[in-house]
Amino acid sequence: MSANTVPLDRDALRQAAGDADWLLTSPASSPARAPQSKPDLRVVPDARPRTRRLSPLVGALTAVGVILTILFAQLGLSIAVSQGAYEARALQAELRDLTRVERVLSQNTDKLSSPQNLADNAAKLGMVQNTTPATLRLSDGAVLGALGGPTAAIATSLVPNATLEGLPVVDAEGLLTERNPEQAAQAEALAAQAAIPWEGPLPAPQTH
Amino acid sequence: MPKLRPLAARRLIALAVILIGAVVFTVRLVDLQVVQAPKLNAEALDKRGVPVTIPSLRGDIVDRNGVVLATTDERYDVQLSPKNVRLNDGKFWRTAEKQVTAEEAFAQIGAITGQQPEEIAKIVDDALAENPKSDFAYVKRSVDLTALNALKKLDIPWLTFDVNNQRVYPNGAVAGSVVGFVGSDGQPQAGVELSQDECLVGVDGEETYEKGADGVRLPGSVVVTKTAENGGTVQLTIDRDLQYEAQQAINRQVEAENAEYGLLTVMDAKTGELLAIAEDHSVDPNDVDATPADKREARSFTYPYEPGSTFKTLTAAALLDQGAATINTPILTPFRWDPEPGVTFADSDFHGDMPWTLSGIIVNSSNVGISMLGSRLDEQTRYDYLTKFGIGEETSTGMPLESSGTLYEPQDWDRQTSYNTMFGQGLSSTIIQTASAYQAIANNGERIPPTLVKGCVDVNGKVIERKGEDPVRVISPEAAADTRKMLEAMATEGWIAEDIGIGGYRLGGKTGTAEQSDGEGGYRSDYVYSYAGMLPMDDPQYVVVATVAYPKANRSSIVAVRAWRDAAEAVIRTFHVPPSNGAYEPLQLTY
Repeated sequence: MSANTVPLDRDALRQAAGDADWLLTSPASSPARAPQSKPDLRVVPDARPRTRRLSPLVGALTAVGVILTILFAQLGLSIAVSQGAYEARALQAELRDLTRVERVLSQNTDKLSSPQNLADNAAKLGMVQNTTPATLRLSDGAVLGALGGPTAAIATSLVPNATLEGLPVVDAEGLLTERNPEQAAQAEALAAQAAIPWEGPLPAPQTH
Repeated sequence: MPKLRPLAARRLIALAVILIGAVVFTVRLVDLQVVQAPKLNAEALDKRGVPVTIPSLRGDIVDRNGVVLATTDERYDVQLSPKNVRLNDGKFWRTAEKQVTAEEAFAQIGAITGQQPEEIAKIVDDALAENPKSDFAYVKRSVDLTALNALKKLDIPWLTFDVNNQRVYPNGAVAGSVVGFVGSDGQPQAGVELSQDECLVGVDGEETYEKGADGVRLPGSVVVTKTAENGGTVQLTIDRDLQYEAQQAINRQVEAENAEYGLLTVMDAKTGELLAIAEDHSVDPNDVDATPADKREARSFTYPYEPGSTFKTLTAAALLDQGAATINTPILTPFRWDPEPGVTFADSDFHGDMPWTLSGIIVNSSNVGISMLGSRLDEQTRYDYLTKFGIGEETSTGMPLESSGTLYEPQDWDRQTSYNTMFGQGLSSTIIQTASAYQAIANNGERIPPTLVKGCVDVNGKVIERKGEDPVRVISPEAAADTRKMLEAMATEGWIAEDIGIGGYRLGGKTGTAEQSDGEGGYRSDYVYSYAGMLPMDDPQYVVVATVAYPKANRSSIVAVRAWRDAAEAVIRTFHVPPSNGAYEPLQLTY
C-alpha cells in the first residue's frame, strides 16, 4: 500500500537503468559509480494532481442510489411488460374476433354465390337462359352458331340447399321477397302470431 | 505441540460438520433439481397453469376452380353454470347500479337464441335436480357469431361460451353425394369427406399459460406445447356450375318420368377427369336426414347396372381394332337368331331380314346383327377388350367405395351369356365405367382411368398430387375414329336425331335399353335407359352418359336422351365450346 503512494523519481530511475548498461560490460567498475549516484536520489513532488479520497459515506450512498435506480427501472419495466400483456391480450382477442367475422363474411359470399341462389334470384328477376349461345370468332369476326338461338325460362332449382333457408331473394322491382311460397305462407302465419320488430339496418332498395 | 491439539481437533470437527452439511445439501439439491425436477415442475404447473386445446380447422373441399364445396364454420355453444344461476337469489349486478334477476336474464338470452325463458329456466332446474352442484349445462349449441356477440354483450356472469366447429356445404346438394358428409361428432361418414380424411383432418394444438387471479395470462407464461395445424384442402375435378346443371337435368327427367333413379356423368375426354357426377335427388350434406338413406351415397360409383346397347359400341370397336370387320361390313340381319341349340335372342322391334352394314347395325341397334358380327371374335378376345375398356375392374377415382361391376371370366359364361355380353347384357358396370369406356373411344383409343380427386394442398401450400393409374391403349386410333363415325351416324341419322340435335354442334352417342336382374334369377319387366355419347365430334372434348332407371311415364331411351341433351347444352355453355367445324359425312348403313 505504502509502496505505491510514495512517488518515485521515474526519470532518475530510468537514468539509473540507462546507466546500468555498463553493469553488464564492466561489472568491476560498479563499486566506483554506485556511491556517486546515491546523492542524486531525492523526493520530488508528484506531477499528477492528487486524487481526493472519497468518504465511505458517499460511496455507500452512491451504491444504494444505483441499486434503487436499478430496482425502480426494473419495477417500471415489469409494469410496462404486464401492461403490454393486457394490451396484447386485447389485440389478440380483437384479431380472433376479426378473423371470425372474416370467416363468416366469406362463408356468406360462398352460399350467396351458390348456383341455387343465383338461379332463384335470376328467375325472380325474370331472366331467361340462352340455351345455345352463339360465338364470335375474333380472328375473322365470324359469328358461329345461330344468333336467334332459343331461350328458356330459368328452371326453379331442384337441388336443395339448406344454407339458403330463410334468405330472401330480390324480385324484378328490387324488393326482397320470400324464396318460395310455402315459406312465405309460413312467415305470414308467424307474423300474424306476433309482431317482431325489425332489427338492424333497413335494406336499401336497389335502384341502378 | 500438545498445546495445539485441542485447537486442531476443533478445527477438524468444524470442518467435518461443514463438509457433512455441504454433502447433505448437495444431495438434496441434486434430488430436487435433477431427480424430482420434472415431477415437481409438472405439479407446480398444474397448480398455476391452465392447459388449453387449440382446435384445428378441418380443411376445405374445393372444385376444379377452387370454389368451396365444403368448409368449416366456427359455431359456438352457449353454456351456463346452474349452481351459479342460483347464487344470491339469482340476482347479479350488470353495472354498479343495475341489478338483473335470473328471470330477466333468461328472457334476454331467449330473445337471442330463440328460446322461451321457461325453456332456459327448465334447463337450470333439470340440471340442479340431477345434481345440486351442477356447474355445466348447454343453453343452446352451435349459435352463430352474431348471436355470440349479442350474448356476450349481456354480460351475464354465469353464461360461458365454447367453440364448436361445424361443417358447412355452401352449395348444398350440388355434388353433395360426392363430397359426402360428417356426423354430428365431426367424424366423416361418406364421400370425399371419408376417403380424403387424412388430408382434411388437422392436428389440434395445445398450450398452457399461467393466469393471474383476474384470469389474465401472466406475461411470458404461455407455453405452446403443440402448435395447431389446420387440415389441407382437397381439390376435386368437378366443375360446380356444370354439376348443378347436370343435377337439374337428371332431376327434371326423373321427376317428369316418375323414374326410380337417374344418373348423369360428364367426363373430360382428354384427361379422364370427372367434371360432373349427377344423381337424382342427391343428398344435401347440410341436412342429411332430409334424404332417404338409399339416395345418400354416390350411386354413380356403387350402383352397377346392365348397360345394354351402349356396349354394342365396344363390341364394334373390338371388331374394327381386330380387323374382323369394317364400318361397311355387310351382314343380312334377321329379327331373331338361334345360333346354337338353346340360345335365342331377337331385336327389340320386329323387322324382316335387313341388309345392314356394321354402321347400320349400330344405328338401328340390332342385337342380332352385333352378335352375328361379334361372334367372329372368340370369347377370350372379347373379354380382353372389355377388360381393357375398364369393365369388371374397380375404378380408382378417390371415392371411399367404388364398385367393380360384374364381368365373369369367359370360361364362366354360359352359351346365352356369351352372346348377351356383345350387347351389354349378362354383365354390369357403373356409369363411371361406361363413361371411361367411351372416353377411350373419344381419346383415340387410349383410356385414361377416371379421376375425381386431383390432390391435396396442405396448410403450407404444398401440393400432393394424387397419382392416377396408367393410361391403357385399348384400340388403335383408326378403330377409334371409325367407331366415332358410327356414333355420329347414330346421333345424326338414328331415330333420336330430332330429340338430341343442338344447332351447330356435331354430336355422337349410342342409346341403351337394358333389362335388369330382379334379384331372383330373372329379369325385371321394366328397363334402365341410357345414352352414352361425346361432343363435339370433330374433336371430342367431353364424354356424357345419362341413365334413367325404370321410368313409368315414357318407356323409351328418349328419357335418357333428353337428360343427355340438357347436359350437353350445359357443357357447351360452361366451357364455351365453339360450334363444330366440318360436317357429318353420311355412312353407308345398308348395302
